[in-house]
Amino acid sequence: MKIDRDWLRSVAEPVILKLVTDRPMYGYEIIQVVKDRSGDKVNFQEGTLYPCLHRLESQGMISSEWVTPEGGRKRKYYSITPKGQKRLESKMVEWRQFTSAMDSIFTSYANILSAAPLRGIL
Amino acid sequence: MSAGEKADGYVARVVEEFRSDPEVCREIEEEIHSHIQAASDDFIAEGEGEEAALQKALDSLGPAEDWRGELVEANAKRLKIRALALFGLRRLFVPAVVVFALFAAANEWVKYSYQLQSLATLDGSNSISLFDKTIRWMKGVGFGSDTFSEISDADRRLLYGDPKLKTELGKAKTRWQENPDNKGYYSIYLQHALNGKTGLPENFVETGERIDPGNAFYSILAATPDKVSESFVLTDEQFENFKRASEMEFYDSNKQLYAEEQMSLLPELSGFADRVERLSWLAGQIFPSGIKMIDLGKAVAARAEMHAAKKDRAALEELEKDWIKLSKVLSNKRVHFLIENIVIEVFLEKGAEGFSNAWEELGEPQNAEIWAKRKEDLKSYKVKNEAKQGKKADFTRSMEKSSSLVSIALPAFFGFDVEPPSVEDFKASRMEEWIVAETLLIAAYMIVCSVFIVIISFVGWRLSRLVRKTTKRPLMFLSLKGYLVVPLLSLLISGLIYLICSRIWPNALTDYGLQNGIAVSATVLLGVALITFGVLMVGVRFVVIHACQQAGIPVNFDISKIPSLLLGAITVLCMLAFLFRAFSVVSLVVVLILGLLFVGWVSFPLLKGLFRESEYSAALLTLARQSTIVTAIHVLLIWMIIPIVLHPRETHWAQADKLFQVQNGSFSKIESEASEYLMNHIHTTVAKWD
Repeated sequence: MKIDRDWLRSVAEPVILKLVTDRPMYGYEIIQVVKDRSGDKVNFQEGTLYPCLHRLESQGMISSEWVTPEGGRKRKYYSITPKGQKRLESKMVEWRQFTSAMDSIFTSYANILSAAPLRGIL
Repeated sequence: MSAGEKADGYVARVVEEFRSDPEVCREIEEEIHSHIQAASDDFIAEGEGEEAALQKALDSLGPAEDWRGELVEANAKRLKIRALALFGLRRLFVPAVVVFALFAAANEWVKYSYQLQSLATLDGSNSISLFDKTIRWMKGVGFGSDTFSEISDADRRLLYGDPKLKTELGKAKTRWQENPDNKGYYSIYLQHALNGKTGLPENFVETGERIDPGNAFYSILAATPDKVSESFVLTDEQFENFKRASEMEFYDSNKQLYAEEQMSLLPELSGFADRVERLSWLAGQIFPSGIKMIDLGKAVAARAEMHAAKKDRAALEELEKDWIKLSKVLSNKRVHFLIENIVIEVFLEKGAEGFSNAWEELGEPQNAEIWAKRKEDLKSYKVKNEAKQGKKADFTRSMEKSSSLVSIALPAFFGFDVEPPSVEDFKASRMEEWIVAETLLIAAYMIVCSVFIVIISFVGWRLSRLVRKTTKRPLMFLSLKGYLVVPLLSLLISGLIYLICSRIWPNALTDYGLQNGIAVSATVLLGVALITFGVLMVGVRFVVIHACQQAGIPVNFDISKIPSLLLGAITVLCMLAFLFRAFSVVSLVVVLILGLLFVGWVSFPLLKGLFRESEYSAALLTLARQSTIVTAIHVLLIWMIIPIVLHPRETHWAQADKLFQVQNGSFSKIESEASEYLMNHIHTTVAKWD
């Protein structure tokens, strides 16, 4: 199933904040982790990820650091800041409220559709 | 193209708009390269070849244009300060300097060309092509170095003046030495020597007493010989008294000196008597009888034909040589001043005709043809010159009929001489009119421009939204803010700086205002035209891109350099109107060196733009910003600050005074005196020769 890019854009910010809370990550790694954890269902495009990372960094939500592991390639690692932590918490609350509201809407709609009398009328 | 090169190209396209900030640009480049490499490594691990893996990694990124805009937006805060500073340095300073350099170079070239042509015409070798002139100029061939190479030191002195006359003391000393019995000359010379503390001449008291026996100053000094020595120094009071007495004596006693002082109103004409004497000597060398220059020409021709009749080739060649020498002397602009151009031209024409006939008679048609051609060239030059003078006179007359400010300002702008009615009238009535009208003119243009910019910005803003909507491409900087604030701010800043300049140079308006006022207006109008052009280009661009997208054709245009090129070109044309303003050689050299930056700045990206896809939002950003800010900088730097700083100290009013004095009779008086003097000397010399 391919998820609409606009949806991904709207959730990119909390997703990134959440991932870099656990440990510092670089851009390509974030894409791979999202892909793995979503069972290949969510695929962040670079065009979505990097602007979002840079925006969060300029807002002070995340910080970055260039690291060159031994024998490895130089990479830019992002990690969350205290300001980002607060934003993540508020986003998580917002997200839960949103999904719960959406669930309620979709559940009521499904109940209406499954009601027998109404089904007869329809 | 290999996948590696494609990757480089891809990254370059993504960071296209970060070029103004090398640090941010490099950081983003590294991050994307690192990303591509990581993705490529994964594909290789899955069994792909290196090239194919890199290609797949690139494909997975999607089009660079899809996310470049968002990336710029995300980094806008970081870019701002540094980008603005660099923008200012690269986009404003360099073009401003370059335009100035081009102007200064054009000024020098035209002056060189004019003088060279003038010499060549009078020399007889009339046809120097534009190309040849330019080559000679570029090679640094001074027009005097080869044309006058065979002229002796004495003649050079005649043409270029006496180097000793460069200082006031030198002038005074020479003047006195030429007239050793003139007490006015001597006292002025002494005054300069005392003032300059350069040491007094030997036996100066004795000389003073001899020349001016009634002068108490010399008598007192003579009575106190112990005070008189090489290191003699007057007290301030003594000096002031002496100075006053000297000046009184100077002006009262010598009418001829006063006439010479008048001559100094005209640049580089001091010591003209000496030059006239030299000229008459030269004339005397070749002309044993006669009064007028026209007759002189006829006589030269007659003498040439006489040599030919006698088959005396050597004498003819000698005469020819003398005649060319005199032509060169006559070609000097200072000599031109003394004798009517037409007289000189007729003289030269007659001479050329004579030499042509003489060579014909000697049986050397080749030489005869050369002289015949020179005569024809001279004729056509004369006709052209007369036509030019006629047009100029017509223009001046038509302008005089109008009493508006423009009647003065416009001809001045185009380099025509303006002939206002009188000094008093001009100063009394025109000065106020001038200041008020000019201020209003500038203010009106600024208001009109502001209104126009608002309207055109709105159109541009709507158009940019349409472009974004239709082509799905980001147009980051084409916001209403970008269109509106930048131009208005630049106009506001220019206005403020203009006010500050007016405070610092209170006379700036009157001293430099006439030409600058028109120039400011012209430049601001030019800016408006460019903004309009920019918006039109947005429209054209929109149509082209949309059509290309529909047809699946890649878009490869870089229009970012058009405004600066256009601005540069038109401004240079405007500046040609100011050719006769004074700029130093040093400033010319400096700006020419800086001008080399222009070549790299404009040509390199322009060439590069032909081979890469360039995001047109960047180009439009340049259009919008460059057109407006560069215009403001041009207004300030080129038309106001530089002329004020570099212009000679002498104000326009002082120059106008001189012009009026010359026009009100001094000129003709001096001219007639000089002619009379010349003719007397010719008579005297001729009498000696006869």
